[in-house]
Amino acid sequence: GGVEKLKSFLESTHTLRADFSQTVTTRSGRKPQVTTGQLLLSRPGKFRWDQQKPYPQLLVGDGEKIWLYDPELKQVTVKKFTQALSGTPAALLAGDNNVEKRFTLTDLGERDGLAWVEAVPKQTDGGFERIRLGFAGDTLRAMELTDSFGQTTSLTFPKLERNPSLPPATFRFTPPPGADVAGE
Amino acid sequence: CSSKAPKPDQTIARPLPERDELTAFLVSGRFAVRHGEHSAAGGFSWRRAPEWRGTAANGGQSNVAQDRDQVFFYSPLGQTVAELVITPEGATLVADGRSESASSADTLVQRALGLELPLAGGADWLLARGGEVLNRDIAGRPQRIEDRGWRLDYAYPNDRPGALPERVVAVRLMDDVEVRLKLDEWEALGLEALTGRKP
Repeated sequence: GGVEKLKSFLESTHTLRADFSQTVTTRSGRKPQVTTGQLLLSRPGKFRWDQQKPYPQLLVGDGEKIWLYDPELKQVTVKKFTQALSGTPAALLAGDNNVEKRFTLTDLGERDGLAWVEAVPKQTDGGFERIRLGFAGDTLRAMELTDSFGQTTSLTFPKLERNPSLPPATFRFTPPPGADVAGE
Repeated sequence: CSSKAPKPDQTIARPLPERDELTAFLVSGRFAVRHGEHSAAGGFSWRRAPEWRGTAANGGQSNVAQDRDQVFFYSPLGQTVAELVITPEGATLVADGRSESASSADTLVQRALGLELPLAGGADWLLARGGEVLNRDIAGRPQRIEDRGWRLDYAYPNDRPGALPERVVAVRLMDDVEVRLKLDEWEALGLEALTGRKP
């Protein structure tokens, strides 16, 4: 079922490169916001979330810190890895293999041609109440995240490559000229 | 004579009323805060709509519309971090499953989220209203205002005199907290928001 697929997916996936399309529907009445870009991972601990549309935004987890660069706001924000991440998809996917240490997993069976598993963070300060992952065969195809304010974020991975070779620089962040860097 | 067709305001289905006439709206955008070495960033959506309150006035019952602001704060990773509601009576913030109230929104958000945000002026500051207009741009729009200890600079997406702001840089004069706002999408709220009845 879904739980086994998630575990074997995590155990056999050391690096990952995927195009993502994310749709966020909120209670605020705001029109659903679709963002697209690329997600890269090197487990454990390193990830790169490179969003291009509707506006550019880059998040890099280098294993110690998380860098957020918003070119339009010309600001880089740095956070310690743990504090910003628990209970988020990045923690689940980029975390260590012992996913059950931080999430309670339950099989949800088949839906939309995918085998689903639900991960409920054991610590809820990450903001997400539950994260659902959908697998086609042994490949992750979709994620659905619900936060404690009733907002749902759904992610699909139209293109996903497991264990590509990724240069170390992928997960290093060098602040671009002109952006001020501030953070803990 | 056909003047240069102005670049349409962000892709908004409903034609946007002029900046100075907008009363009920939903705007979503991003903020970045810098305070010395400390920084924070995230997304937000701000919904201003009148709330109809029944009030007993000189013996009769009358409905009075008072402004209500509902603000959601989002983390860069996209999840909702907090919900803030501001009414003339005060502000209430829900975060981590707890609700807190205070008379002023900015002290409440600072205490609960550790964020120094320009909330003292409420929705007016998103619309370049309030305080003293120190200068205007060539299209006659407020470019810099000063209000309640903050200085706010405004940039607009096009040259229409009634355009809605696209960027705001707010500096708190007493300690140089700097907040940059990018207002990504404005939407005017329709009849149902103004009259409280479904159209």
